[in-house]
Amino acid sequence: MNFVRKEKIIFVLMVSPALLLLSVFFIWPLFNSFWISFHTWPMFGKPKWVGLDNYIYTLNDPRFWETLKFTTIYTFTATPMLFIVALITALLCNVRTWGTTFFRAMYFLPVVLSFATASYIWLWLYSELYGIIIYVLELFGFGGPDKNLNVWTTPTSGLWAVNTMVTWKFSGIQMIILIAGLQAIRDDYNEASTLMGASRWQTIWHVTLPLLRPSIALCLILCIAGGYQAYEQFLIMTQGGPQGATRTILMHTTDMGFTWFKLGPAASVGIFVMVIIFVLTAIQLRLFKPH
Amino acid sequence: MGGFMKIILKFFLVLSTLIPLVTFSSQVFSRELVVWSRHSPSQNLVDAFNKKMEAEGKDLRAVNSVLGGDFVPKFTAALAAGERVDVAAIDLIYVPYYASIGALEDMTEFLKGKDYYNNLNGPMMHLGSIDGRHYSAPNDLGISGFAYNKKLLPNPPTTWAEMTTMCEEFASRGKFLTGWPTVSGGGMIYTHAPWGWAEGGAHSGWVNEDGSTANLNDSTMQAAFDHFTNLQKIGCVPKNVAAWDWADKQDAFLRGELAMIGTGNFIIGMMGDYPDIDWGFFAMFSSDGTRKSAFVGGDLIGIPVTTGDKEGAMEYIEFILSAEGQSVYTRQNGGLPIRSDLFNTDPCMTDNHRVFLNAGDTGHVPYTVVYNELMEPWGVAIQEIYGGGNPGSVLAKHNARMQEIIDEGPE
Repeated sequence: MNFVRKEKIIFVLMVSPALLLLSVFFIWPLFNSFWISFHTWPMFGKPKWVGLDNYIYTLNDPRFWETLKFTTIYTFTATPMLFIVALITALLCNVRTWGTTFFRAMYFLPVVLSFATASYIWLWLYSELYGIIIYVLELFGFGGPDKNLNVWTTPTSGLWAVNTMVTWKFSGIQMIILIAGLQAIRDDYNEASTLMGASRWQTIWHVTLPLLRPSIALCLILCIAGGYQAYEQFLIMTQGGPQGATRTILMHTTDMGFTWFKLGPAASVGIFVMVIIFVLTAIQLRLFKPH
Repeated sequence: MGGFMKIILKFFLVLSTLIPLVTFSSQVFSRELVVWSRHSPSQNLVDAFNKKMEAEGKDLRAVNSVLGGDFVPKFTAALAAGERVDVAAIDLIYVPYYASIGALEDMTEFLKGKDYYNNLNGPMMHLGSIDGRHYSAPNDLGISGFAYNKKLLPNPPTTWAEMTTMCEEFASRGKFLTGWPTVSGGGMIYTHAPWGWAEGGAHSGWVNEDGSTANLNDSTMQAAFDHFTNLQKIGCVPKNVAAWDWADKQDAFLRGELAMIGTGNFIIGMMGDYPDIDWGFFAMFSSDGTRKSAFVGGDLIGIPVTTGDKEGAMEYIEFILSAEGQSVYTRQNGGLPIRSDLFNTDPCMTDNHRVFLNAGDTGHVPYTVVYNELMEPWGVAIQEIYGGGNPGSVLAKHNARMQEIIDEGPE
């Protein structure tokens, strides 16, 4: 057996476990979702080919548009919150001084929790009866003289309450990505900028941020893709309420498929979400392409 | 469903049931019934059945899997995969759907052959039947009603006008008469819709008898919502009730902050844990107090078509329906018999139990094959109403949506 052939066999052997996992848990379900989306797919009985009917059904379903609208609002409000907090903590934790490692660890700690755990923790923090956040907000006059603040009574306050939790939970991983990007920037760029008389802020704006483009792109792609896949946090914290106004597109998909047993339309919603995430990711990659 | 998909589903279903199977017993029996339930108390029944089988020297044992809140998706996936399930105790509201797709065995002859056939709970039997054929039997009852704290409310209201007067009196003292779980669609149909049914009779608000027409905007249902929004306006209901879940109102009652709440017979089992509360119970009633109603909830028991031992499954169900099996349930605090002939003979029945049993006599449970999907417009409607919306227009809007869902039907 010649060397090249041997190398090829080793290559195939090395990638095959990952390829197998990818095929079973991603490619096959993806293909199957496409296939199901063109059928009436009863849980019990034979599927029937219906062409584009499920896609037409989805486009005519007001619940699809309502949940898509809310998910978009969530994505485009949570993303800036997350990114700004992550950027500030990354810039602060990139300074080589005493205690930096401790703070990095502290900011990263919430990342290791699952979304479900984090949601329950914050549900307690927001509790009308026991929550410290509500207590503090009421000290500042929120909730009126009766002090009966409840963040889940309106969709807007519910959205911002969840956004805050998500920022706390997820900014740590973004911070690490940005720190990695910051550490890849050679010191002489910053030194040159300082020698040319630029202030600290001017250096960040004109030197650091442009050089961070690939890291920023990665952060934003993760944020936006994650935003459109929001599920547990709203399921646990708002249960889609009040008045169904905080139901996300993924909650709608799972309800459609596994609560209402309409697998065909559910698969078509899933395909729409995939296309949306794909298009937004492509746009971001293009926008953040290095000059 | 495709063959490969079935294999994958089977793999995970087998995996998920492996642990209870392994831990059940070191002994292997030639006939093991696979029982799926959603409640943990079902284990007492399974244990009692296994003891009986052992005493009779039969080589038949039941193995129970308690699936909790995930029962419906897991059971549906099991059916789709052809996974063996011999007996399933299903939340009754989902049974019309499973019966309609042919997922349950016909039990008509088996049930009609029993002496107590006519004593089985009527609304529950109706839900498990299609064209006079029975596809399930009652397993356990969960009847809704109201609990009140006698220290805060010595005598419960008997008419809606009386309730309004009490509300004004409570509000004038800055106290709360009641509260409800607005964000819980299930909790609200359980403890709120019966006020409308008491006023207008069964099928008078939600769906008609055969589930073909939505009637959420029935004038009697609207009257019930008008009554409760009026209580809200008077101020004897906590201001944030629009954001309350089941646990919120129950906790507030147990803390002594609410004088009365909607609940179910299961709360009788909690009385011993809260000796400081002087408990009382009453059934939901019409505006003039002459008619009562309740949500007749609980589980129905059926034999899935994926059974591997129909005869064994019948034997298990026969045990559940027997006086011996029923006593296992009623010995658990709060449990009610599903046979009316046992109401007066069961020694565990107290006056508190009888409040729920009597309410169940005139109680109701909606029959529909799209219950889950109808819960969405229903849930949004009640949140809109208690969030400040006009009951009439809100109910009309969501009634139209419910009718669309009914017309579409299940996939």
